Amino acid sequence: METFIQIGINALSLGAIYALLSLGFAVIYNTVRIFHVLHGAAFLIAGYATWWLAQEQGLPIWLAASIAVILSGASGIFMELAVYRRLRVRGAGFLVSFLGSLAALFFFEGLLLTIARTTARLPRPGGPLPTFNLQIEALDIDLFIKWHAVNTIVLVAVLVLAVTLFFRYTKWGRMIRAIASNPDLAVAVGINASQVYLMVFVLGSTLAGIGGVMQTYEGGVIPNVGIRLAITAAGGVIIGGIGSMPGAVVGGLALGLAQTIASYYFGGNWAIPAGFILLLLVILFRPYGLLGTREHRELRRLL
Amino acid sequence: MYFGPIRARLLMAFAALVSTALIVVACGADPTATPVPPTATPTPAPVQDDTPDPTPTPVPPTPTPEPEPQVLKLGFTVPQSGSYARWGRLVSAMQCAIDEVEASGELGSTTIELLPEDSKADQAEGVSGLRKLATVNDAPVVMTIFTGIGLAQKPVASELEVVLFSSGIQNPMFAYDSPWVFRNALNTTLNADALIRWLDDYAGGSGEDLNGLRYAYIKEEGNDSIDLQIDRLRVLEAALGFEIVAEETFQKDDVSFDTQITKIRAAEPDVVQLMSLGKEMGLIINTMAQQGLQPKYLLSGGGAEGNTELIDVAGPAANGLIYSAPGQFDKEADERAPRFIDCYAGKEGNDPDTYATHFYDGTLVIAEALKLGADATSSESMRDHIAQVDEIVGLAGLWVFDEGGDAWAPPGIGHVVNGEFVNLVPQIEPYRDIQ
Repeated sequence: METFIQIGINALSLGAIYALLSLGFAVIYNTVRIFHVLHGAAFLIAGYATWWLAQEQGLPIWLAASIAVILSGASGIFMELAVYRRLRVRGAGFLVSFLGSLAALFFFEGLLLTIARTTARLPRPGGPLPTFNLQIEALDIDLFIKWHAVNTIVLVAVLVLAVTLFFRYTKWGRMIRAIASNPDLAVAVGINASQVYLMVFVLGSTLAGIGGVMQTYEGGVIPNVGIRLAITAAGGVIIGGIGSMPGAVVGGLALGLAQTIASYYFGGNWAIPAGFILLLLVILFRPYGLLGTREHRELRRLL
Repeated sequence: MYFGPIRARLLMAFAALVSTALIVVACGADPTATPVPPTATPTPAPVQDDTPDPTPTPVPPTPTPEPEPQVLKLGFTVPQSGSYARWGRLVSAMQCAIDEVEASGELGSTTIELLPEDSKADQAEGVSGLRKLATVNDAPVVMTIFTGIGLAQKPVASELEVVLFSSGIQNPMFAYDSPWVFRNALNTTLNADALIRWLDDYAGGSGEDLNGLRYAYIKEEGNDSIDLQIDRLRVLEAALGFEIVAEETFQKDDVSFDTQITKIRAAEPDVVQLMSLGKEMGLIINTMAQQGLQPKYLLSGGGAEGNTELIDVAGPAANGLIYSAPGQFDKEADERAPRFIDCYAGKEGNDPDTYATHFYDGTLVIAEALKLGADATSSESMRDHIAQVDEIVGLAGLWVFDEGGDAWAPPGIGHVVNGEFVNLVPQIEPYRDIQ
């Protein structure tokens, strides 16, 4: 019992970070239709900025983290303007955009390697994170739970709610949905697609940045994790259902759960493969994802 | 929330793209070595006649032409990026040895040029680096580190006819079956012997009763050196009566170890051994502390000593870690030692560890071959003269080479005290009677 509760907390904590990354990826993909692997760079920017500001510049961690998230959001503007808009202007298709994104990510990681080297950077003094002890004698439970895990889960829940409300009730949210639904029609009624694209990159990168800060605070950051995280984010989107924001969150959580369970039963080396096996199963048996919409099902019938 | 119709082809393309990307990510770096054509023949060695002329000539002596200065291009495939980049510090250790030997004047006009090549701790990169050093840089001798990489390089070294030398590969069979391969290092299996012997004879002052001792380990996947150590641990388990109650794994660059530690905690071990060479060790120690897992003994079989990332990440939680390390560096036993410490500290900012010392000693072996008259431009000559080195007194002690070109030393035991790596038992005898 005790072990399973601990495993559940582990899965939720890991899945929450994935959910945030997937949500950020979904916000961008659903609108711009780009396989945005450069998304991993936003995570890295936030992680390294937090470390540099807190450890090298001596800022309080909350301030360092806040600035880092702003920087990662701003990096979304740069990604759109310097990479994707240029590709779009030249008529680049889906594959070319993906390759451009991949090239930009590798370039960025190479740059990080040169500047920051490969040492794991921790934005706090070394040592274990604070925990609290949960004891329930009647159930023979004696657990140590990280405050950081609790904070992460609560923060992600709040952010998911905030993003949902943003899309449903704000002008910008409605404009993004309009562009995502029918770009030509949205432009025809006067919506500025370029501005909307900038907004989704800022929003998606900010979400990735928050994930970057939370994970870096616990485990540090190294330059070469960007691609793995970007693919994980994309995996969460597909598992949850392309086009579905709640699906992205559920997909991220499902990935965290699959990795944790596989790690427990088969060993840590099966964690990442388990996530991808889940992804392949979804692609094969439920291509519209766990929370795929009715429209996706209809689309599936046409295939 | 739905964002509008998606074309069926787009969906299919997306799925195919993700699958392709996953395969690329899962496979890691391109395992195909860069196809560089092998060298046809090594550069022929210039004929050197060292035999003194027995008949003195009555004619006035003519000035002897100065021997042309030679440069030994000494390659080194070593991680300088990636999560094992900290091993790149060994370049500094070798350079210190080169500076020491050259300053002594014993090499005459011959100099040694060190050519590091980033292996990224990856087999394909290591092989590619070896090919480049041998064929592009014409290095007759290439140093290397890490068992997996060295074993992949071994047939290539024979094919290219270049000397492959390691002061860090702990696989006991590395140097055998090839005249081109040499080694001075610890045998990895002896890490297991050292830790168990320490528990048996030293732990708690007079040693622990191994019978029934609950033992758990967490290991990095895909590391041959670690796997050999585990094989040995099982042999010792069967012979000495302790019980391995939990075995967990992780992958290089992982940052979350909660699940593995949850499982180990449930097994209630007396001893937990960490088998990692990178930064992960510190994160694992943190996770153990966070989950309240406090084994009686926390051990590491190699990879801890000199691992500054371990201290940076785990902080005070690293204190008390017991680790095995190659035969330890006696910092007062030799007049070269303080010079080495100064030189190394000047380059790296901290004192050399025993791995650095081994590479220092390995470089001395190469230099010894030059002193014996090896032609610095010929790999064949270097090979033959290295093979003539029977023993050498290094900073880690006496290295005695067997006929296979292999020299090994029993490991020592150290522990972490206030964030410092401190020697505890200089050398510890393996269980020679348990096979």
